[in-house]
Amino acid sequence: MQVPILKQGGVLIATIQAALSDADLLELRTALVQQVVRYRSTGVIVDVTAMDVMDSFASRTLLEISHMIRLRGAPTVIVGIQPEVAFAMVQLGLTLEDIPLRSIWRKAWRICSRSPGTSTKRRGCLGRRHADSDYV
Amino acid sequence: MAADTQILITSDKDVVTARQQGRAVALQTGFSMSEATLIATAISELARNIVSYANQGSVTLRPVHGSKRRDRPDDRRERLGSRDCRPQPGVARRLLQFRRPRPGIARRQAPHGRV
Repeated sequence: MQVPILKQGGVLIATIQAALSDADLLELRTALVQQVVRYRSTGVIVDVTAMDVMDSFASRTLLEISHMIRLRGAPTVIVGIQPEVAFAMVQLGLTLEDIPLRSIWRKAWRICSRSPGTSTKRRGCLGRRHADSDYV
Repeated sequence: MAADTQILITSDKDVVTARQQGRAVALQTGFSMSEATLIATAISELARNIVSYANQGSVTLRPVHGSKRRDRPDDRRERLGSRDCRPQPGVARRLLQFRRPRPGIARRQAPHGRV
């Protein structure tokens, strides 16, 4: 299953919409890094609200995504970890250290908007579709 | 008691199926959402190990009802030969309680690398 990646200004938004297999996660990692390079993105938001399970492979892949994109100078923010998923992660000792985690979109957007290179004119309501936003 | 649910694991897509089935069985058994997610995560790890190291196998889910355990520890036997070395009564029981997996899911080791 392909994860849609939305380009909103200089920020890429990947919204996971269903349970992903390992191959899907690796595909998402490759696609995100490629898009960050291609569009010179200043931040990436990964929405994991629909992920029902965050096991060791998913955690490791998200860490890799974050580290790879940080090497390009852009932050990665994980949004929407479900409470029961957080419970299981803590019980099993899985951590997402060094990745900014936010519960809601607006806070994640603030982090990506603060990163250098992002135009302040593009700040606005997340629900509104901007002229320069597009699926990539 | 409900019948066993067996999921063949041959690819990473089956890992997703196994953990979804495991979550469904856990919820049907009466576990909370958090515990069901924990069980699903454990099944996901096991199923991934099958794909990674054994290429193919199966995961069998079986709800176990009732609180009676079959593996009752027994501290009455002298295992070390000396009476001074005997552990305190109930030590094995406490250790087993500490390491006991979550009730509700039975994991069985079968031949040919099946779990």
